[in-house]
Amino acid sequence: MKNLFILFTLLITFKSFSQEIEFGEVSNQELKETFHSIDSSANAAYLYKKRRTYYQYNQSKGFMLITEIHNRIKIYNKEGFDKATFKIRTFKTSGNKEKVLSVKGYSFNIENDKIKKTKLKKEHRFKEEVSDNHDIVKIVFPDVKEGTIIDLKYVFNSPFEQNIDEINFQHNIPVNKLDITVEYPEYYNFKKISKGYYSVPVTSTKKRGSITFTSKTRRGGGINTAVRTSFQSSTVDYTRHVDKYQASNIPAISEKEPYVYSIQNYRGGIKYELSSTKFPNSRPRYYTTSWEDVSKKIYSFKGFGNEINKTNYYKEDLNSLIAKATKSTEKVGLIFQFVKSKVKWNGNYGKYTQEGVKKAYKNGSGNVADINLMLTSMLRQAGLNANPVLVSSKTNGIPLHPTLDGFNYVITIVQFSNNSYALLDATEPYSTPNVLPIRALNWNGRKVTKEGHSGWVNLKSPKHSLEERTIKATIDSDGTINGLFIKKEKMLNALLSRNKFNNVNKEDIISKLEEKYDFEIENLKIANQHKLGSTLTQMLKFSSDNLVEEINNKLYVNPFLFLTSSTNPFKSNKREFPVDYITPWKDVNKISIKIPEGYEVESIPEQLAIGLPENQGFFKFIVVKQGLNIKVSAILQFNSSMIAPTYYQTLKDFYSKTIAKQNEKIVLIKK
Amino acid sequence: MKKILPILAAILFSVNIQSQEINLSSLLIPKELTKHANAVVKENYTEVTIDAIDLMYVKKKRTITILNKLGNKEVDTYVHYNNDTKVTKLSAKIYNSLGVEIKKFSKSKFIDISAVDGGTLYSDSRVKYIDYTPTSYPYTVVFECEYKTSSTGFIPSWHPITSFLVSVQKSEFKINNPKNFEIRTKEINFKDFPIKKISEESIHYLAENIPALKHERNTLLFTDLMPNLLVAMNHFTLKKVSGKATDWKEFGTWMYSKLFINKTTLDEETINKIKSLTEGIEHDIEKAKIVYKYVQNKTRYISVQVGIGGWEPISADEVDKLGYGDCKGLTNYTKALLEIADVEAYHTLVYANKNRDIDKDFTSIQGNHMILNIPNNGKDIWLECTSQNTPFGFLGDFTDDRDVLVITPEGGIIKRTPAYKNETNIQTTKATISITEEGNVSANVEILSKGIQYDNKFHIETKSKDDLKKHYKSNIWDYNNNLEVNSINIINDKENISFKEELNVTIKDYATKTDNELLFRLNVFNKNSFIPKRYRTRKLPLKIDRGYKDIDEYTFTIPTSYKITQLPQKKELQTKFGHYTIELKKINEKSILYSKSILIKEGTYTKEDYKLYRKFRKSIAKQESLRIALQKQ
Repeated sequence: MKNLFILFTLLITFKSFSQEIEFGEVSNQELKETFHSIDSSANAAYLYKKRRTYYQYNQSKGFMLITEIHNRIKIYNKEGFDKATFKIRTFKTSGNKEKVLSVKGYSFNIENDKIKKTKLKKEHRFKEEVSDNHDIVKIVFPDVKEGTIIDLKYVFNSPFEQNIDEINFQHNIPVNKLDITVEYPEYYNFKKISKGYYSVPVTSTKKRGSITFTSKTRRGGGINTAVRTSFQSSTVDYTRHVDKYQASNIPAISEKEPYVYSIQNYRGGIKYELSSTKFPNSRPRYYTTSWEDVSKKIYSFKGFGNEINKTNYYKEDLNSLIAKATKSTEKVGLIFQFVKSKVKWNGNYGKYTQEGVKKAYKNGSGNVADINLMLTSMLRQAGLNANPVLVSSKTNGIPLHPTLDGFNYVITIVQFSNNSYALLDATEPYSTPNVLPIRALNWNGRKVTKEGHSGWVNLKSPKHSLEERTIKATIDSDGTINGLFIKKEKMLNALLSRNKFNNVNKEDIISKLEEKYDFEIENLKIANQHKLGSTLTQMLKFSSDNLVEEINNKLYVNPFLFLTSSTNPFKSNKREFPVDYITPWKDVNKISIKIPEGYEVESIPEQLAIGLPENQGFFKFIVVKQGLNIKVSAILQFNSSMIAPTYYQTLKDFYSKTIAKQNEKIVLIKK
Repeated sequence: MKKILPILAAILFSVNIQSQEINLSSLLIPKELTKHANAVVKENYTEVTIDAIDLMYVKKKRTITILNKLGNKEVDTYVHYNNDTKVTKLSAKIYNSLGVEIKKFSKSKFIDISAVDGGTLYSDSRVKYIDYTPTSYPYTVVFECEYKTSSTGFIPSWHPITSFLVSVQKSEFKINNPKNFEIRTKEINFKDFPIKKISEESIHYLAENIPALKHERNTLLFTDLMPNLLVAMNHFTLKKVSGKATDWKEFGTWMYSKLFINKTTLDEETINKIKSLTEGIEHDIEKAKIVYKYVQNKTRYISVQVGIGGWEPISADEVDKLGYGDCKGLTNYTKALLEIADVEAYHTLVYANKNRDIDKDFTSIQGNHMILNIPNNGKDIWLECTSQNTPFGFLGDFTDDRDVLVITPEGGIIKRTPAYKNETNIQTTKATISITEEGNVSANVEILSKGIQYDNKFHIETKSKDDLKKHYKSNIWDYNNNLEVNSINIINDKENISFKEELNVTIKDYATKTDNELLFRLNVFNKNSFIPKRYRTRKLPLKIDRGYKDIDEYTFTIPTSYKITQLPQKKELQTKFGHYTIELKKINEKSILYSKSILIKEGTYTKEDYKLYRKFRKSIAKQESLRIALQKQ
């Protein structure tokens, strides 16, 4: 009896797990739902998201990658209407083409308490030829209203069988039920790389599969025999790996938060990257196994190591460039600037060259690899210990397992005899040694030597990106404030400012600053705009009549004057991914305010020093009175470039305190 | 043969050098043309030859010097084409600052992609362009392109000035009309610019040495400031359909008979449905309301750029089946349904978004959007058919207050859409606010919006509760830190076109506490701090696009341990741009009434007025952050 009961429960659980969702059938209850039961902010939700990716053998074409998709989406309101349009990108080369086949769909609505089912037809599908290499298939569902459920099924057929499309668990709308299967024959070996802040455990099993080959033999044709053709079929058995990812109630990922560089990186998912293949009767082919291996492999590609070895095209120019240079740092500086001015970045990333170094040099433009591999080569040629460093760009995310796609960018490292080193990226005109542009400031870099050895390199500068602001101000008896404002920037801050303002004429900079700070500028000077090694300095004289507030004969002034931040950038009560500052940073404010004749200080804000746990950052704020002068000094510093989501609430409170503090007033009273 | 070639090459080379010396060195550009300029159009030549009603050749040569990085977007080395247009010649050459050729793109080097934007589903529009990374500045690009098209409905118009911050050394426009077709032209804004008419007999213009102009905010539209030559033919072809249009009446007849006729058939089921829905209803307006609601519930907007020059709608039948369409399809569908209900309605062409008129004096293909007109015995009603939420008969700032073209079977008629002016766009904010001993605020707020202020916010109705909270915290009241929204109630009265928001909010630490005072800003919920940008010397006229009125009335209850000592005086600001008043009244020992009213009047003012307007807004902004201090008892 007891056993029977167990069996019974087993059956039930089994049933609830394998409960099939039938395409083209939805329930009345689902249709009547007006908002998502867990996330009421959802405009739409995947009621069901199914994907099955598997291999099919075709005797003439070999293995093909087939992906069956079934999406069922509930649309709650009008803002969710765009979820009823699907855009599927297909890739094509001269011989091969991805195809979208067997498209079937319905939209369901409730009409007079009955379910109305509208079929997706051919006229709802469009094909756009975007370029020589890709097309977009667009599917637009008919009869979509608030409350509609749409059901879509199609098959994606790809001859590029080594590339399994990335699997996303998380989307910008909730997923109620996720059911993903990836099946591949034993001949392929994949590395499964998970990403983002939401994971779904995998259940892996093995199943049997077989391929039937048919072969044709012609016999006879001799003097006495007629030609006879016979067909034989043989069967090859193999093992199929089956990975299942099943989950329920996956939350949506919010896209509108501050300090996010690429939301795609935070979205939970899995990537399959091919590490090796081993087909019957042929030797195994290895794609990747370890980072060491990945680096070696990349170095051996034609568009990488080989390109570094080319030297003839620049030899003469280089010789004359460094003819007089004696110190190695001097050579680095000259060559770095030379490459920057000689070859301009065309905006394309890449660890392999696009034009080839020679052509890039001649045309004066190229992709990341064209430029930085050329730089590496020249530095080596000049006798320096230079090597390429592979990087995963900010948008490429953080690869957790060794894969070729884990790197998509390359920079250069020069190591000196005293153990110091310089990281260089010549694609960015305002970068300096060890100050890389944001796109390259991600995770770690991998240095690869000539011999193919490799090792990790920390890309982030240990120095904080700095913005130091000094104000010397005087308050007149009529409430106007005049003064001098000096802003100094170093490291990444300087790079970003140069990038933003070096091409803007002074008149427009003045106008922008006046708008930002709501004051009037008399005289603006910018020093070291093009002297990259020096501190970028901006100096100006200002006057403003709206920094002092008069209430009941008292004057109220913000200690930071026009530099006061009044709003907390973090508004949401919850955040499930990190706050990304890109680099450690430090803001320093040094302000002195002279009070007008006839007034005395009634009160000044109390000092404050607060910190984040684990020395991730702090805020120090001090106001002191010195006769007719008030001196304010404050530092806001972050030692971590990234703050984990567990500290989000702490960070938000921390900001809120810094904001409140700088909005406390200095109060002056008439003597 | 072997000997001749190098000589020939040498001759060609020397010719080349010579022409480069004249044209292509960036160093010889007059100084007045480089001031404020990111690029200089050295020569922009357009020649149009009309060979037949359905055959037009266009030849373009554009030489532009890009002075700096910001000028790159002015390169414009692209050509659009579609099934009717064949690009016959295409090339681009890049020269360095000395005028030496450094790169050449032949036709096959141009990248060819679909020119369909993200919101469009299908269109035959394609574009060819080059992808060039500049290696140094300045550089010069010579772009040459020739194409022929069978569509003469759109003859290129001439815009000598294409952008702000670009100067023009020479721009020439010529139309060859060997067969003497009737061609009409209209010169717009020519008088303030150095433009010459080269020949009285033919259409041939030249503009020379126009310095770069800087953009300024709060001014007229670029198209209203800059010169433009409109060109149209009386007989033309559009996507293989021939047309005739000497005036709007004729144009309308053509459009109706070629593009709109026979597009309103529907199946029996739909006809019956509409008939039963409108059965027994007498007034056309009531019937139209039912039909409009039916359309809004059934359809959604999706752009489909097919048909004749983007103007032929997909048939009503089709929209009925699909449940979606673009502006033409949905307008036509609504018209078809109204026809069943015996309500007269007409397709209407309009320039949507930025306020621009259909030129009533110049007949040509104009407009970028379609709405529906119900004549309603002289009391016109206008329907925007692409929105699922817009109230019946409401246009909003998308299409209000402008000349439009109504297409009737008897021809085209120019009409004007209703305007939402100044006080019509009113927002009234009423709040009861209590301040606690700790300086926290707890308040009930009621905001009522009409006119364009309704238009600005009725879309939030569809937001979910959580998104709405975020909307108030991050957009509307982002200047109030620590604000929490406790409850929201929204009433969208589509009948009277008024939008009411009722909220309960709390703001922690709103007031600042000192030893014996409690300070707080009076305008808690509608702080208007807009100050127009400062220009040392304003060059363009001031335009206030949209007038409005805001009234704020807050009743404050103060904490028991504080008293009201001194309240600021009533303040009034009166200018030609509008007026502003702020007044405080002590209701009793524990409560204060704050009332504010601001009226901004739309209009175009002189450039000298800009400074006065800025001063006005600056004074307002100051009053808007006015704080008072309560004394500890």
